[in-house]
Amino acid sequence: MAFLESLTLFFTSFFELAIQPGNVLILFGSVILGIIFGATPGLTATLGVALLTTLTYGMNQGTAMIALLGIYVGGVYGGSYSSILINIPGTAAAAATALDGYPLAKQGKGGVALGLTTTASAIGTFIGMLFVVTLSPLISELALQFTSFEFFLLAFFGIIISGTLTSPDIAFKGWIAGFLGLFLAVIGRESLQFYARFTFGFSQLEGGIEVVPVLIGAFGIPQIIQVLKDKYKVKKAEKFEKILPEWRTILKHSKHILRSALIGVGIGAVPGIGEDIAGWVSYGAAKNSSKEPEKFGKGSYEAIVSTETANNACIGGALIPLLNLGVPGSPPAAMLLGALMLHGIAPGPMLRIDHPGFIEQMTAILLMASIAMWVAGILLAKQVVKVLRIPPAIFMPIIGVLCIIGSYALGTKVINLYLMLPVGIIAYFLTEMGYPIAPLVIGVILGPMADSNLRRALMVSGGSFAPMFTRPVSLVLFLIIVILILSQIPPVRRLMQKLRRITFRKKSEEQ
Amino acid sequence: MMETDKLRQADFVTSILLLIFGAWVLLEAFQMPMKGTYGGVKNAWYISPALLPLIIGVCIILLGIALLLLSIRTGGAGAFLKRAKKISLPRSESSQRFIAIVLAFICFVYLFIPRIDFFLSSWFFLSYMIIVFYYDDSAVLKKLTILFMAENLLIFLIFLTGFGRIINSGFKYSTDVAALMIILIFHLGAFLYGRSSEVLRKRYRIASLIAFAVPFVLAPIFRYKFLVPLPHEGGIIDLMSLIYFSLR
Repeated sequence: MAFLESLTLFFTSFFELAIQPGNVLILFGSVILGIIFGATPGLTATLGVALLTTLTYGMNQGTAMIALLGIYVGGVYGGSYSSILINIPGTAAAAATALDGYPLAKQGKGGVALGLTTTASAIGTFIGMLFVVTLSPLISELALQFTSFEFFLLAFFGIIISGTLTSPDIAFKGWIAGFLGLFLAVIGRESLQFYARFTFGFSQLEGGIEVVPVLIGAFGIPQIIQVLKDKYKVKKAEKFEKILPEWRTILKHSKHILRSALIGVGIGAVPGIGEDIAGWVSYGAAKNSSKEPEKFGKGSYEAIVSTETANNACIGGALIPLLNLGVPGSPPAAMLLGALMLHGIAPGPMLRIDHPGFIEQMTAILLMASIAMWVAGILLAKQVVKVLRIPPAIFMPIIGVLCIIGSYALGTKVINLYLMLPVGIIAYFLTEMGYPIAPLVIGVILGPMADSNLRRALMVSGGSFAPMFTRPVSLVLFLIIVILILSQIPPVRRLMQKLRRITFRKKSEEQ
Repeated sequence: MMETDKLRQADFVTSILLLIFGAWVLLEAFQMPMKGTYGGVKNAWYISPALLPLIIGVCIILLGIALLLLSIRTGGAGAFLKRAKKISLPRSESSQRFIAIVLAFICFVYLFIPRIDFFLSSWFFLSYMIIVFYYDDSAVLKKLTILFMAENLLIFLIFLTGFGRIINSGFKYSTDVAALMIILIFHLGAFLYGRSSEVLRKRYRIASLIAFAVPFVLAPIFRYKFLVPLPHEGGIIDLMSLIYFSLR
């Protein structure tokens, strides 16, 4: 019954939103803008969502979500353009696509490759959407049983797992970034006793640090510095013929599409892990299971279909924990969380009660965005590619001004700018030194949740940590956190490897 | 990202900074109420506002120690200490570009935005950034950065000495007029540095047009469409408002 009700709400939302010409116009506009952001090296889907958040402030909630999900979906897909045509991934999510997309373009099959990635991305987004609509009621039902201990551990788990999996160097660095984010989150007056922490007497800091300017600084400023400092050059795009949907090839690779979509949704649902990891894992899985693995890296259709399905399916996956637990599944989803808060929506287990029909509305928008992305991709690719010719030296300073006005406009406070810039510069240095930015952002977002829930939980238990070990969900979360931490300590890791070796040797001797 | 050996050297410095930072967080946290009553609420360690900062401080110190040990074990600390003896200013082109970008942002955010008309501030920032990086010439970058910084210093002195307030009391847009003159001088300098080459002349035309057009479009959108009061509304924004409201 609940599923039927959900389905009815989904279709009602879909038609309500789709029949308004203004919404359709905004949908296509934001999807195309997203494709441009994704296709342009140096600009990312996260930055696109961040900058558009400012512009949606005056819109009603439904239209704002259309614009934000539109740019998110378009941004993740758009990365494939520059990957295929100039061998430079427009976004990290499309890095794996470049390995096979560019050789295809060199062989004169750029149009076929773009047709495949367009359809695969649309299918990936659609499958991700199906998971949002089917899993959300179950997860939010489960989350309603959560107590403060579970929420505290969930926030901690988000930081640790995102730190472990996104760190390009050692996992410690991801955790450090996460704790720095947590520190930023505790600045200001806390919610239980209203005590001012780390405000240094500045009344402007008492309200705490606003999430959106921090996110704009952390994602925008390092990108601008990197692109201008390292002199990104505009490369001539490979020529390509007409783009067609390539249904026959897609049908031939339906097995890869299904597997990649599942990988994408699964990875997306893990807090803070983005579309880039989904793309790479899916690429690896496709290569391992392929009948022609030797073709990978030389222009394989299987490869590009797998990576593009996975990175777009990741969007739906990232929305599942975001909407039901208040924990963003990926960096653009973290930005989306900031936008939701601006529009007075607090994602989490209470979302279904506070805003009935909102999750169905979001999934309906996701479906609309995947259709708009497919149409725009098939029809406008040649026009969008022209944007790749604009030199970064021209558009990056403009992005700089947009970051600044965007950070300021949300609260009309100059203090947001004063904080955004140092956060951005520190984020740049952290990136250079191998620290991932996603855990920092997750820390800033989940900090208040960790703080208030830990203290509330201890208040209820009278200072005892025992409930953490007696409640099944919190025990599982606690054990995962401990295992994740221990697995990164070299002596423990060596011991585990030794144990594994001994176990396997025994098994092979038995056989 | 840096190469591994450089990363381990940087890790040494970062670990020291993290240890100091973690210790400072702990020190601050210990000053927060942990017992007695605060704001009428009876306190205990587990509901204290210091609880999470204490966890953060301890974790940062532990992770700092782990990073320090890694840096020592892999030779990063030793290599850094050896290198530190012959430290010199970064002279590579990418370092110069980095400094130019950061300085431009600092001047824009901390000096111009709170004091000068938003249109003029953005125009100056974009003029510098687009011209300098679109020219793509390290000699011009150096010369124009010196000119840009000298002009910023002048604006800084105008406000630091209180001269800005004095001239604004006579005519409220005086500092905006001064900023406009400074922008025009910058453009003159940029034009002169680029006039010897046809490519640079073309690039100057494109860059100066875009640097002017972007705030010209952006400022009215935010001010009149999204109803966002701009950080500092001076002569140009007031003129735009006059035109906008008389046309409405």
